[in-house]
Amino acid sequence: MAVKCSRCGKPAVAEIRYTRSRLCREHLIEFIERRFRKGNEEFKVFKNIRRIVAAVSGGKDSLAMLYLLHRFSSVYGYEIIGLTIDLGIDRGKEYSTKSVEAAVESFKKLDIEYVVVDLSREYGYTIDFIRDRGRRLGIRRPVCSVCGITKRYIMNRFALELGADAVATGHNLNDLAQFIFTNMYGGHIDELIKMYPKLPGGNGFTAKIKPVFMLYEKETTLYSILNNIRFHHDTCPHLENGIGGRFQTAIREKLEQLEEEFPGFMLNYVLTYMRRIRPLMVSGSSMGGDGDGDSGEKISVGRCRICGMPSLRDVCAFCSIRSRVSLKVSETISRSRGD
Amino acid sequence: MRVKVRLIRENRVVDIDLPNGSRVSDLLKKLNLRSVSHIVIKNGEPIPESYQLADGDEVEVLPVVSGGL
Ligand SMILES: [Zn+2]
Ligand SMILES: [Zn+2]
Repeated sequence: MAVKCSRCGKPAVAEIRYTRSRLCREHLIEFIERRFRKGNEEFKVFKNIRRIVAAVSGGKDSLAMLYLLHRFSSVYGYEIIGLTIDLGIDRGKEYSTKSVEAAVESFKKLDIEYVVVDLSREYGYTIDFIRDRGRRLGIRRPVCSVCGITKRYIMNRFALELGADAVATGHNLNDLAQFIFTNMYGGHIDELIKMYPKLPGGNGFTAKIKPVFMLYEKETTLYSILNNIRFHHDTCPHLENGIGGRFQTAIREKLEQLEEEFPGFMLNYVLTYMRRIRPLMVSGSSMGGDGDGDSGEKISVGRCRICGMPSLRDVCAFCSIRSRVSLKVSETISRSRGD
Repeated sequence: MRVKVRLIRENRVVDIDLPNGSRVSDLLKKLNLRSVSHIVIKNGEPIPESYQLADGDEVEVLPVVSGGL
């Protein structure tokens, strides 16, 4: 038996417990879009941003982000370039192939200009290859860490090459609640400070934005379903113990339990951190925190000897991985930007 | 009453017996799933936790957890 929308009386598709409302398809979309706009306006996410590289994995978070960015592009005055990376993860599930397909399908549907970066073709390795041979080649980092370094490097590099003002990623509210909690627990202040809707660029880094930071994971999924977005809902085959391992998974589940018991818990937790705690931290830190995108990353960094991208060491983490898996390093030098 | 449930991630269909008048939230409890991390879908459209199920209903359950990317 159908439940009625609190606003119009049509059949409700979801219950938003933290606002004590039940909403129909139309009013749920409106609710999610309003929260997207309110959150990004409060933290001035789109201020001075004219061109955004939207990093899309093919999952529901980054695809919901893409649709929301696209829907409000003329309101905030930015253009979008899609970026998706074929990481070469297969494991009998065609994980990467299906992810890239879902991303490209949406880029085409929305008529968004896009780039597909094939890790194997561009850089000579795949994530599966690192999992299988990484240790023997002297790469001690876990495969998820190599994957993270690879994605961040490619996003930043292509954003710079495409002349973008910001890279947008689909981190949702549940992700941020988990990262804030675990970084606080571990005392990782430099990581904790990054948990913010907008990080300024500069010094060889593009600004980073998280436009769906205020949407629960359930909301990005509902938004995708209601907009008939075809997303890839497999989990990565290398994720054996959940995102970030057993400890991180446990924290995520406890936070979900708290949300179930006290609706709005994660939203309050994340917003309290962003509004009241982080501002006190940034004043004493190396990274500019005004979020306006014009203050630049204040850590002074050198340049990677191989690729010319910013790096704290002589050779950046990405090039040191590459140098162990491929002999085609000279190619990288000829492709480097030289700034 | 009996409800047919397709678990999307596991790609498996199960029949669940519930007391008459049970809601979606009762179904999720019976399956030991949290409503903050699952969406129940009927005829292609999501339905809220307070939706009252009927005998013979067929629904799908989609977990919302990220794929890891
Ligand atoms: Zn309505
Ligand atoms: Zn480098």
